[in-house]
Amino acid sequence: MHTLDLVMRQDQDYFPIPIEIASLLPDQLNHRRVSEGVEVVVFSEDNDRYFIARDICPHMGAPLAQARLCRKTGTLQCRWHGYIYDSGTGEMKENPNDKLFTKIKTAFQSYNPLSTPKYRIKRLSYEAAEGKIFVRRGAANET
Amino acid sequence: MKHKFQVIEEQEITLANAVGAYLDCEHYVFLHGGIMPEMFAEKLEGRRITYRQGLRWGFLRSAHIFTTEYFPPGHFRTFDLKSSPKWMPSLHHVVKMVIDVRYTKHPERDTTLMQFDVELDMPFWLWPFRRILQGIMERMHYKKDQEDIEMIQRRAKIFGPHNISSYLAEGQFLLFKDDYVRHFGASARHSTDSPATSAARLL
Ligand code: FES
Ligand SMILES: [Fe+2]
Repeated sequence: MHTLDLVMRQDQDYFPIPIEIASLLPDQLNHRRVSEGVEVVVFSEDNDRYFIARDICPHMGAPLAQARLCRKTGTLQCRWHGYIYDSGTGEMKENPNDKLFTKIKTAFQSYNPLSTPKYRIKRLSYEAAEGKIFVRRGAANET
Repeated sequence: MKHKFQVIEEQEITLANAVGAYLDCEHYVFLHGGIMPEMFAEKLEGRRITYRQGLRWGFLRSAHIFTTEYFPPGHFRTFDLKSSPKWMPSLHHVVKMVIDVRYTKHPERDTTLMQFDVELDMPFWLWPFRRILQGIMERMHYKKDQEDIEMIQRRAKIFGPHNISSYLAEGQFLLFKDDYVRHFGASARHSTDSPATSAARLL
């Protein structure tokens, strides 16, 4: 798709501020503003694909820009509670606190591990053209 | 010889959030990893929890065991600090510490008053260093509070300052959650959205 086409569609379909591909640092989370009050995190995967998500952890809203990205394990670890997400699918893989607090978690009647929601970082879809990434507005879509 | 000091601070967060964050133990070693890189809950007795905690003092690392007791709705007392293992040289062999953190609602505003009281019982030869010790403890406490407040304020900005649904959510582990719900559950009646749902809506 040509940039001009995208520009024409930008208002309704895309956030107004594109991400310059050349500005992205490899192997790390990049933090970008794509519109007034809308921030995203982005990192490049293999084959010119990008992982883009709102800068909000689905657990309690911590900035994902402060998460730790590990390419080796393919994970993103949030800074607030340390929840570990799959950096490909965005699905939550592990709550490391289950180990740190095993002894007492189970001692509280209020604890019900089966009721933990399936947190998931939703990937935003995008179009890349002429060195820019245009992030799609609206409900999160799978790329 | 006893050295006591106190810090009182107004925090721009609601009381329910301040207490919720303290009871939300899942963040301790992650958000506060710079000062407490390790922490394991060892024992629960009534409202007392015994922890084993690794600490960083600059380049030095140490570990200690301590007990924190919760007095609902917003008072936490930490005491019985010991080094771990016992033979390890530590200040805890010679200084007895009792730390009280109390959160109360500001009488006029929708903010929280945090009161930090410390009592150090130390031998006379440590007395000249009491202010240094006080400074270290105040700085650590301040750093930890700032890390909490930054996150709580951000969440408040996204989901609303009174939204404590993430603490009340069924799947969310919280220390003494029944007490928390009893004292603060009513304040959340108007904000039953789960943060995950609200976040999804934002997208
Ligand atoms: S806010 Fe991200 S793990 Fe809790
Ligand atoms: Fe904290």
